[in-house]
Amino acid sequence: MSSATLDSPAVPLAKSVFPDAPAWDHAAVPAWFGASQRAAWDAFARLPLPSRRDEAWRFADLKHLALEGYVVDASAAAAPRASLALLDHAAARFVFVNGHFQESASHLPGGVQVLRLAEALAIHGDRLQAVLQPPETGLGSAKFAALHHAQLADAVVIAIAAGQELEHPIEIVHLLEGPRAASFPRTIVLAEAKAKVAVLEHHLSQGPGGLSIGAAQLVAAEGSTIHYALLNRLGAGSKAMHFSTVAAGRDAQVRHSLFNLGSGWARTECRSLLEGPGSRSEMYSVSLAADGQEVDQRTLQDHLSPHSYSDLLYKNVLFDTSRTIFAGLIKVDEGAHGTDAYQKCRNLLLSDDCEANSMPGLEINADQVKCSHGSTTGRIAEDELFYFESRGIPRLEATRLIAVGFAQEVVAKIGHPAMEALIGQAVEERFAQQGA
Amino acid sequence: MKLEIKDLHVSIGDREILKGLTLDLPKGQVHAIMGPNGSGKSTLSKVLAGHEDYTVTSGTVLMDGVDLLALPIDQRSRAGFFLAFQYPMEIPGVSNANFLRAALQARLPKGQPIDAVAFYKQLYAKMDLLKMDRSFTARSVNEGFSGGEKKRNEILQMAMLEPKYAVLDETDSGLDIDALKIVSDGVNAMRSPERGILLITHYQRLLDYIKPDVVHVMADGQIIKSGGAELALELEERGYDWLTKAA
Repeated sequence: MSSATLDSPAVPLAKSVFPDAPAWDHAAVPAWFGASQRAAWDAFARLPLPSRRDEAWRFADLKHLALEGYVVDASAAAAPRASLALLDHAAARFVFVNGHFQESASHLPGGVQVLRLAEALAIHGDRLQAVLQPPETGLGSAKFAALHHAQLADAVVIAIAAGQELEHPIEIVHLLEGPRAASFPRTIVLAEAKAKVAVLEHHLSQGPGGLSIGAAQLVAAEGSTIHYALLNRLGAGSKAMHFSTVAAGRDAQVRHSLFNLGSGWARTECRSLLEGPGSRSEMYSVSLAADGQEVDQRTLQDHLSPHSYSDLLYKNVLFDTSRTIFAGLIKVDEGAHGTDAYQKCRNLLLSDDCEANSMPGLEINADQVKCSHGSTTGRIAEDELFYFESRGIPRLEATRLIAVGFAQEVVAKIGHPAMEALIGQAVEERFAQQGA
Repeated sequence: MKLEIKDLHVSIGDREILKGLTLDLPKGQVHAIMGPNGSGKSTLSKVLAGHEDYTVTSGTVLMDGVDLLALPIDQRSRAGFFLAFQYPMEIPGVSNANFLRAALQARLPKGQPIDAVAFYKQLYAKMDLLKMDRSFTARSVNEGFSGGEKKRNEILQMAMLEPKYAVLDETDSGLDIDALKIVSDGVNAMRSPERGILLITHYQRLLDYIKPDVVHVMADGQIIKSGGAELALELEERGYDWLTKAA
């Protein structure tokens, strides 16, 4: 099979590419799924590119949206070359290269319902229809969510039965191989009542470039717990977009953490829906931006039920001429009384030429609500550096320790020791690489 | 062997704060500086540590013959100078153990790793002495510590870094009597013929627990009187007025 090219979205991608893109036989899947992909493809072609006037793209450099020349590699890609830093113990492990499943590197024990898309469709069929739709977050990237869905050839579907608790996390690895490779990772987590699961997803490169447009959907039924972390260590020349939707039912708890340590450009959108009374959502992020990198993050904490709780902490560390953008909204709907919602973005500037943009927001339509939002941007205080230096620690090392500490404070919130250790190590390595 | 401060003049902006301060702290001795608010006590401690807000306009400070003022802040520490801060900084995200490790690592030749087993053994021994719970190793430096815990942590750092000369800036302020006793025991344990200690304090109370060899009275940027431990008692009784007026 030949490789297919993704044309510039400015000139809508040639529709002829589509039948080649999904690597499976549509005849074997439910009709609604094939229809959803075709509709997504139409939507991608139809929807306009974001413009400067678009509030959801304020401060963003739209040149990053030029997606010419990326390739959907329909042939089986090479096995992972890099020695991967993975968890010692994973309940299950999926490894994909350019979207192709790597059986030899994966580990899929029985007893846990972790499935690839075709199996999931075969077993769950129409029950997946509600989630297997374009992963639109309403935060600006409908066009690219449509592209993701249209190109979807595989996915990881994690269905945890009622009351089941997994001791170890489920680990998903997506590797990009080749400078023009495109990958469309999709993770769906369905936790039934009182189930408990942790998921660690890695996005890595075996080369400098590539494009990743991914999505995660975390659906937590009554009293269940989902901890999800995405570690982006893609190559500096790559582009990454990721769309997450969290839906928390009654008394459910979902923690969604993003660690942007790679990719030249990253756009993340995360929408948390507090659907059930007493539900909890925590959204955390650490981004380390250097050189001319841009990290653009948009969030929504949507309180739809009474007595729900949400907390958001996004931290950015900026080197060189890097840029970050944070736009977040807490929305408390009518009837969502007794909501507790917090949102904080903190930017640490480590150069004179970097730029951090923060747009925190609140929209409250209910009573008896406790909400706060805010953003801080600053350099390391001289008095902090003085304290370190007065103990004999050189200024450069002091800066590194303080910046790493700033980031590790968020790592410590992941709430799963093995994941904290692995991600903490990745953060250390990224700082060491920066020479700061 | 001594810390030798000679005719030190220091300004912050246009304002002169130290106006020709002279003081010798020989190794093996404990000195105390007492004095009213605004006499320049804290300025002295910060200048010795190298704080950039202060400008030395004239005078010298020699540490065992080495020009202390010519050294960058971190080198002063590695050369054997230590300041226990009046208001220790809180450093979120950096554990106490990592902070001390970095400070000790900076004292080793480049590329030589620290002996982690020996480090923790020493750290725990010093913490026991200061009655600090082991959980303090993993906690962020001073973050959420009580006033007394912060001061104990300063003495812990001093005990780990084993300086030749240490200045303790109002280490007794904010301590209740139990904490004061623990901190004083920690300082007394560090008294040695190889070390000079300078206590800066408002109150005679500290000197009940740490007996100084010499007490200096500071006013308006100078040492105006020096004497034995009994001078502190006299100050407690009579205040500073009789001295500042005489000067």
